[in-house]
Amino acid sequence: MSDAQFDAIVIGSGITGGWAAKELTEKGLRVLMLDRSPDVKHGEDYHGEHVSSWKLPFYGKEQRQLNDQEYFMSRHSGVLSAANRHLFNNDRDNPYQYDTTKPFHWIRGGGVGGRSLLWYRQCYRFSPADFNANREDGHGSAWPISYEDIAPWYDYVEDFIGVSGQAEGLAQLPDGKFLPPMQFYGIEKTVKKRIENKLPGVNMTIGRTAVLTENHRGRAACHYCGPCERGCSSGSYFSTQSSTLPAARATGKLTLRADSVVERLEYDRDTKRISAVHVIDSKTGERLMFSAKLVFLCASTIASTQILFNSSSDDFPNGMANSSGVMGKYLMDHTTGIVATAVFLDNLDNYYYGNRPNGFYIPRFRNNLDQDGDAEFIRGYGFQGNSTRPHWGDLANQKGFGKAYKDALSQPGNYWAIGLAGFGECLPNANNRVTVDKAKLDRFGIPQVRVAMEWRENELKAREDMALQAQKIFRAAGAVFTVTNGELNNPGEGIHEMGTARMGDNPRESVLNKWNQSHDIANLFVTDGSCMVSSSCVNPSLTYMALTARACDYAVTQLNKGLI
Amino acid sequence: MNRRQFMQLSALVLAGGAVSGPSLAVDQQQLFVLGRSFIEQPVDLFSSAQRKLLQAAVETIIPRTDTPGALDASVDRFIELCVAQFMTEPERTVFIAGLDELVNAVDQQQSDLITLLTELEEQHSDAAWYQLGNRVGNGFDSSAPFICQLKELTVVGFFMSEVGATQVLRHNPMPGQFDGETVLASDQPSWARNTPGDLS
Repeated sequence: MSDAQFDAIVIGSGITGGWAAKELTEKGLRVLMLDRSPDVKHGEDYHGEHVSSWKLPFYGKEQRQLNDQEYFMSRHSGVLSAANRHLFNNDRDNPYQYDTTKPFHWIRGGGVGGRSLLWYRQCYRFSPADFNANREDGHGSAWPISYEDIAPWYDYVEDFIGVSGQAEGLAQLPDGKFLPPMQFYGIEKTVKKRIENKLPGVNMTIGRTAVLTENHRGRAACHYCGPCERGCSSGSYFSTQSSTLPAARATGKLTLRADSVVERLEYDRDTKRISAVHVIDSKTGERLMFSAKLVFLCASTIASTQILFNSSSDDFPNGMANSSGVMGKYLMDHTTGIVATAVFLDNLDNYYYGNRPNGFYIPRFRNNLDQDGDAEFIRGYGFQGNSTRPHWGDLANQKGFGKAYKDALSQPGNYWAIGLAGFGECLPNANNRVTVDKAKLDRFGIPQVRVAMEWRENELKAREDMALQAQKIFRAAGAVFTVTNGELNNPGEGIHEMGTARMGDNPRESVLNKWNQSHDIANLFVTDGSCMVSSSCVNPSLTYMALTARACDYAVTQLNKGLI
Repeated sequence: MNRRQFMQLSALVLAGGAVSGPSLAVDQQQLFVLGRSFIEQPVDLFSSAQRKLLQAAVETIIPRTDTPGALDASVDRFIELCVAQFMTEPERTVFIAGLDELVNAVDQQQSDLITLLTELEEQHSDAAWYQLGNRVGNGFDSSAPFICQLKELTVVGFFMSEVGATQVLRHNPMPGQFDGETVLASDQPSWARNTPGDLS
């Protein structure tokens, strides 16, 4: 490959890298997409898709010793199995540092497509209030954009990826362009009616998810087989492979280079631009260098921050594009973990057909218009819920043998269970941060990242409130039995890490401008979660996608004007 | 949906005919169609006396009735593989000691097997494994006594097996749609699972 071959280099192939590649190629740019991981080909590399339970090692029970040794972070995703291990990061081979008394669990993909193949696919818009939150209560810094700035890009992204959901007209959870919603379980209809009757301000809607409920843009409607995280040959959920990569390839302008670890970016003092991307081929060890007019950094929050720190130079002694000094700081994630499970004796004559890859959602109902008088925390949280009719696994831990035991386990249990998991907003805090440790090198000789993050008082207070409110919701819903359970996740386990290269209008307080462009370096754009200024309480991927598409539009406009 | 409809649907989905998306890659179809069952591999951990006892024990826990039982599903083989390859060393020690005790007790004709198993359950009735809210899933309780290890692996080895999933439970890998309010008949078995503890 010769250097002059490309107009833009996209680093990373996950949710944002895929979008950057699609947008830039569709606008006519010749794009080189780099990913540190091996290629994962759509369909043929989903080795575990539709594999029967009896073909899995130990019939699907966790391979604990292997995971202990090599996948000790990936296992915290909750969806790692023999059927998709090749899509996850090998944590032994790719280490990072943290204080073991304050663990930060960094969960990474291990193939091209990154976590777009593994995500839970929930798609919620940030609300107008989310974009105003920092400005109003003084935590973190102000967003440089408002909801109105991003709303058309939410439309654009939703239209392309396909998001199924129900419009609700709620200010705290703006509606989008939805495909038909997935159905509720009967028990959920019962519960929804009771909750909304008894608890004004609490709403329950079906999960808004990037899973197709009808054929869409050449991709097939969901066939409800269940475990999306094994990959989906019919492209029924959004991933790089199913959606953005084919679009980028269709232009004939994309070159994907897998197994390409970006070591550092090189800055040219004269042009004030990034002049080269230095790469190590992870298979051969060969060192390569690529150049282009534009660089889009989409390697995921922590990895992008690592690359920028490792690109320090005389011009940027504290990390490339870090004249502000805020890079690496203000790392955020969401607090989560199941907070309550309840048993219901309604709808017992209902069962189900098909595996719904989605749950329901109770949008933020605390501190919505004003601060609630009884809330000892600011901002809010939402609940993601799901329903289960107990099966043999739920019924096995009882005494007994023989026909009665077999019969009891063969049939659905005589109740429904509903679990609620709170997802709480995390305040930006300068002490939650990513740095690099020059004394700890990885197998390529690249300095590892060190992550320091802990939940602070506001997150903990909100978490307490989640448990109380979940009880209240379940009482209103008619539960016969409720148990508060689950442990607060370690930071990182929300898998929504963000915020270490935040956007802002003031170059002294932010890394990126309102177009995700570096304040310091005009041809550098960072559009993954690191750009985030606040975390809201909703799943952030949709916002990353919208910001990426918007940044690409701006970058190409500037490029065409000769300003980059 | 009856079996005929299901076969038609699967054929359509696999061929990409009913849908506009791409068809499954050939290699991948071969991978999952030709892949062997997990239990079709050699294992040689137990003595013949241990195997014989294990066979009797699993069939006692899940007997053949009007549907197949544990031995029809080769649950004993699944357990031998799990003890050899899945368990940690301390778990394996507990299991083999428990199995040997049962072998000896039966040899000495102290009681019949179901009585012995029932006694074991009574002895360990305070084990965490039996606590309300516990479930058999992807994990494994390292503190579980032998009787609980045995029951857990029997249950997983049965309901996740081809025989258990397809002949005792209902198995439909390609439902094609979701309906959250079907009518449940009183004798209807549960759906088979994709993994022991899957959330989706």
